[in-house]
Amino acid sequence: MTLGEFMKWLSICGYPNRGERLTGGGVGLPALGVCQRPTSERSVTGTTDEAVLASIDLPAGYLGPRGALRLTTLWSYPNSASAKTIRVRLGGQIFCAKALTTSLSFQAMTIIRARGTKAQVASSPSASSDFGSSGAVVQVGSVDMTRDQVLTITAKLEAPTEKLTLEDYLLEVLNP
Amino acid sequence: MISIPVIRGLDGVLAPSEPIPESAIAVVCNGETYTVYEDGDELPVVETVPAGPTP
Repeated sequence: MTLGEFMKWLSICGYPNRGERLTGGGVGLPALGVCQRPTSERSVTGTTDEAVLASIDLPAGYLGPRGALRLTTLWSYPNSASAKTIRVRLGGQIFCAKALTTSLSFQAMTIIRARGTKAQVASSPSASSDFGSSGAVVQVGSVDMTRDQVLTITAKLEAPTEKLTLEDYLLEVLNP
Repeated sequence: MISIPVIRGLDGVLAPSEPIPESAIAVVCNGETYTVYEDGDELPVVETVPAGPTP
């Protein structure tokens, strides 16, 4: 068993408990590869600074060289021309960056596909939809998944009087 | 209800200075603190969408 495999086994067992836990596996237990979803809605208001609304620790080796991370986020916000920007970062690299305006809710699905242990590919972060065609090129990442990494979900308001809410997120780790 | 101070990263992004408790039912960041609401707390007022015209 390599060190990375041992760390992954520890994580499945719930150790160490850092930040938000990753769980999964077994009959009667949460689905394998599904991160524990939050029990709370999380919002930003009163500031134009970008703020972290969720931070998930990913142990080294958790995303396999042929695996994928699938993050589904659900957002609500007021209908206005002011931009409400949502971002998803893995290892500090942006894989989702969408400016939401004249609508009331949005569901994003950010799929980060591994190409080996130190490269990833995903759909364009700023595409209006994570499905269908886009005029932008695919996003290429260079996050070293042989090291511990952090997945963050952030929100930023253009108008501080508004409120942008992360209603829920679901993280799935899919390793064939 | 718990208030967690904000810390600012080198990239300017705000983050909670400590993990958000799993017991939280709602969290609001106002640029200075992350206010964590727990079971039994009065939640912040939610802005409602005006009803559309009646058919």
